[in-house]
Amino acid sequence: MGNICKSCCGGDDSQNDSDGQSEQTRLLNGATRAQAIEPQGGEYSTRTNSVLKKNDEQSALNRILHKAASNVIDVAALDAHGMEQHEFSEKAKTYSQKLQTATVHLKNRSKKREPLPESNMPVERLAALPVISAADLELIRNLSANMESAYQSFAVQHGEELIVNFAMS
Amino acid sequence: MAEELKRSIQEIMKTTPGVRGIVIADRDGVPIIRVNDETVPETVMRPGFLSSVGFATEQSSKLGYGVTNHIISIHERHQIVHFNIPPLILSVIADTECNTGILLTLRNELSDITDAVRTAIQVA
Repeated sequence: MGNICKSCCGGDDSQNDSDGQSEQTRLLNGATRAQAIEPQGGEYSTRTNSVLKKNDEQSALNRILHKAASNVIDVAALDAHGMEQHEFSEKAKTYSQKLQTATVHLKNRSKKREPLPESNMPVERLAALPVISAADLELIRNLSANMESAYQSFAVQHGEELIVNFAMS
Repeated sequence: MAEELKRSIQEIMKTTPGVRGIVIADRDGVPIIRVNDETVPETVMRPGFLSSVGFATEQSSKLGYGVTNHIISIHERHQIVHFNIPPLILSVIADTECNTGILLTLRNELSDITDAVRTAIQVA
């Protein structure tokens, strides 16, 4: 059953994210919503062995059920998605406290997009910049001249007539 | 740390014309960091709106096309790009005329910031 759901809904958890974070993972405790629901079979676990075995089966079935339920598109669940106001402010407070105490490690600054050269730099600094070499200038001119001549020589050469007459004697 | 992260976000906003605000929130719509100017409507920052995005990405990932990477919505005055970065939602609010392709590159540019936020919340 799980496999059917996996194939039809594309719910392979391993492809969700490379570091194991899925869309149901919560930020604070890392638990998924499906896991947070207690399987109904839990209350029978202290009885006899046969009951225990049955219970294992029951909880396994429940796990499959929860997995299938998490793969079902349920738009109506949005209403139950909201948080209480006190819960919201508590979470916001926790986040701000954690951010204040943590130390920042912005290591991947090299990923930053290279901005265009500064256009508002002082004139004297701009004038002091080294000029482009004559060879580079010549290369740019040659390339642009070649591109222009190539563009000028663009022409459509039709081999056969596009419009023909049918059944004309 | 929060101030430094905000400064980094502001720097990126300055180099991307048209961006009005950036919000990093959890999937329940609780904002963790937000930087915005006065033109951004307050409704964008509401948890009900931000949590609906988390819910929408979660549900749309079940359509069979793989994981939802981002959701773009373009309105009369603003466009909003929501990036799905589990367990976070990164929202970029920009002018309607702003180049959407450039906005999509912000995911990569802001990756060190989102990584830092995630680590700070989960480890601390």
